[in-house]
Amino acid sequence: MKHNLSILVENHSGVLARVANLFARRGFNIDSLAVGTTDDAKISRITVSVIANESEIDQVLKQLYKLPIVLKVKRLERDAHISRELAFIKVTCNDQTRTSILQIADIFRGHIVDVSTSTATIEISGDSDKIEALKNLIAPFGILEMVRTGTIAVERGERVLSLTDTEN
Amino acid sequence: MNGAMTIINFLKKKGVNPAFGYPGGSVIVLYDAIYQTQFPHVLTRHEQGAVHAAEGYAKVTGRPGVVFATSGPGATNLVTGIADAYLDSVPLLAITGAVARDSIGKDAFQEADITGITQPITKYNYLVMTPEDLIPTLEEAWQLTTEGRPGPVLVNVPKDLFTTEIPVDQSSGEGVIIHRPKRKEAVDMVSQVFDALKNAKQPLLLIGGGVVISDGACEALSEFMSKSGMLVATTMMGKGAIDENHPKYLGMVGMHGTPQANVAIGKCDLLLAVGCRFSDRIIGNPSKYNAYEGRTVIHVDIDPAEIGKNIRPHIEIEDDACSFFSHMNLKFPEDSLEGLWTEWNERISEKRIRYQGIKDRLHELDDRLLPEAVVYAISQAYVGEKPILVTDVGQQQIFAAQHFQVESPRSFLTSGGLGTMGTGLPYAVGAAIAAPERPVVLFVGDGGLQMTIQEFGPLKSMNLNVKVIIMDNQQLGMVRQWQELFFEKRYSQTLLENNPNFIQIADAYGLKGGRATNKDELIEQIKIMHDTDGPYVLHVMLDIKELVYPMIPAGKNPEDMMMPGM
Repeated sequence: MKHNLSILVENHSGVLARVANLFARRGFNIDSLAVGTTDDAKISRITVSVIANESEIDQVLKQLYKLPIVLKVKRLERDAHISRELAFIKVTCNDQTRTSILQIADIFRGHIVDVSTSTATIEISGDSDKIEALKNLIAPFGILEMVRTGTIAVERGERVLSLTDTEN
Repeated sequence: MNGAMTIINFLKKKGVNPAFGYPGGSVIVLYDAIYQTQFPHVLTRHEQGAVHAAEGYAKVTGRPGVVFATSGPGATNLVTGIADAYLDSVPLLAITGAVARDSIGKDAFQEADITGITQPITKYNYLVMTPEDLIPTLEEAWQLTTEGRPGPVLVNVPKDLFTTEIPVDQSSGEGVIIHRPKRKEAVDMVSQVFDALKNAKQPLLLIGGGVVISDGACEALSEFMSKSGMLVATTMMGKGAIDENHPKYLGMVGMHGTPQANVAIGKCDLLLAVGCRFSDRIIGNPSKYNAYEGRTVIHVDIDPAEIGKNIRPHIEIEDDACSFFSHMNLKFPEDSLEGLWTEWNERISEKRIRYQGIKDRLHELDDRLLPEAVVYAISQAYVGEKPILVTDVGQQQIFAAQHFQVESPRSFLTSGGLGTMGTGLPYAVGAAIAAPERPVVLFVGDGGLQMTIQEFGPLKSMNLNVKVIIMDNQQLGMVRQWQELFFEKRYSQTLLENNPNFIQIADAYGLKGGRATNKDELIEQIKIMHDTDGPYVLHVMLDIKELVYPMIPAGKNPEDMMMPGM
């Protein structure tokens, strides 16, 4: 089962490698990973999607807390958070197909961010399933390349990931 | 003050006496500071010897062992010892030289990314890149070695920082405050444990190495044992936490544990495990153990990540062993619960008596020089002297653990988790330095000794009180044992038929020694060894056929134990 974790870490070099190595060494299966700074420049936030059962996810949390650079780990509850990925899909197009591609992108609230005589690049954000769905619809036109980020996620409503709250 | 002096000053302030190490190009300035300040330092003959000696020192004292090595090969030679310390929770501070900052990443002479290499085998490690960071890093690293569950920490210092002026500590205090989830501490949980005990019919207390290394835990455990009347077993790392003659003590559990301890761990309906991590040498088949529903497992450990890692507990307590037993002792009424468990305690005790009969026969010394009898005979020479028992890894390790009683905690030094051959002699060096007033008795095989035999050097130069007993069966006995039992006697690369003359080697190092090939020689040699001040090398030519029993084959269950005569 897939779980999204938010991890606050100290923002300095090598931190991402330590977290990624921990997952590799303990045999945890990362589905996606995204990292960036937070509003506080000293703190970075890592979002990890991990495929694990209950006892494995418990181990992931405990092992992460053993790293001194890890400040806070939170397991995001299913349905109580919003998650997004961003993707660029570069697809073959010509005068006949351009409109269809544009329409499909539109339905998914994607944008064409670059065109040439023979290509169009769609920018799309959404959860994994949505990006997957768009990819499948676009595929018959001929995908030249695709790049996507890891998932980022934030909790819904008033719940925030803060350093001071001690619930897990 | 330059970086080198700053480091030495720091270690002096922390009371480090001595550090272990080996010089080299990147740390030459550090060694110059050692020379100028006459800082106490033990020169081993290999970096691996230095790190294991530092471990031996730390295992005996509980204080961090400190080891220095130069960049590249010096640092990589520490790797085995760091991994060893990581698995056995030994506080260790490794300070390595790195190439100069402007050479990092250029594949400079003697460059190896030791920070990267040791990341998975340290609690944490550091590459210091600015003069301002040096003191705060040392401080944090030092604390981390003993904080919570102890372990190794490495600080990698580029060569040019040793000569750079280091500002007096002006740590900005800008660090981020870390919040950990609230622990399930003993104080809040003891009532639950007590209730579970009252409902149990067949309880067992399992003691791991965490109890040995927790300050005050062994005293609190002793009181808890009197109050509760529970049967107790230990892991190999837990040996020494309990008086081995205590009537409720069942001995060691696990692959080579006693029949009574293994039957108890297999059959108990309540397992109270404190300071152990349920390695595969304790519970060979965790999924089967987990699947049995008639058992309540209570797991107490200072490292929350150990709880639920291998065995799923019903009650989790994230606390120090001493804290746990102290709270349990407060909770316990005057009259013990032992009456509830009479039938169980007696049933297991019968097994214990039966196994003791087998042991007594094994302890009878004859001219075959069976390892069990040899170990026992030597142990008898040191009764009452608070010996420090050190082993290498292999058959002799298990024979020593089974047949040589220790009299106090922190007195049994063995590589339990990593199972590192070659640790014995350097551990003994560190132990003898840590406790010069106590005899250090080392059992080492002919295989393991040859991995670090160069550490005869410090034995001689420092006249360390180490009795080296070479348990020579001319083979890599433990692997050969597996080959005999599970590989149809295909003895692939395990027969050492061209061993050197160990007594001549000892002699070349200037060490006294002697050889025993039969019962009378052994008795005489033990007496000479015991009466000799300082180091002695006793070469024992063993019966080469003897196997280590009892044995539970890897991945099997307690009831699959093999024990001739049981």
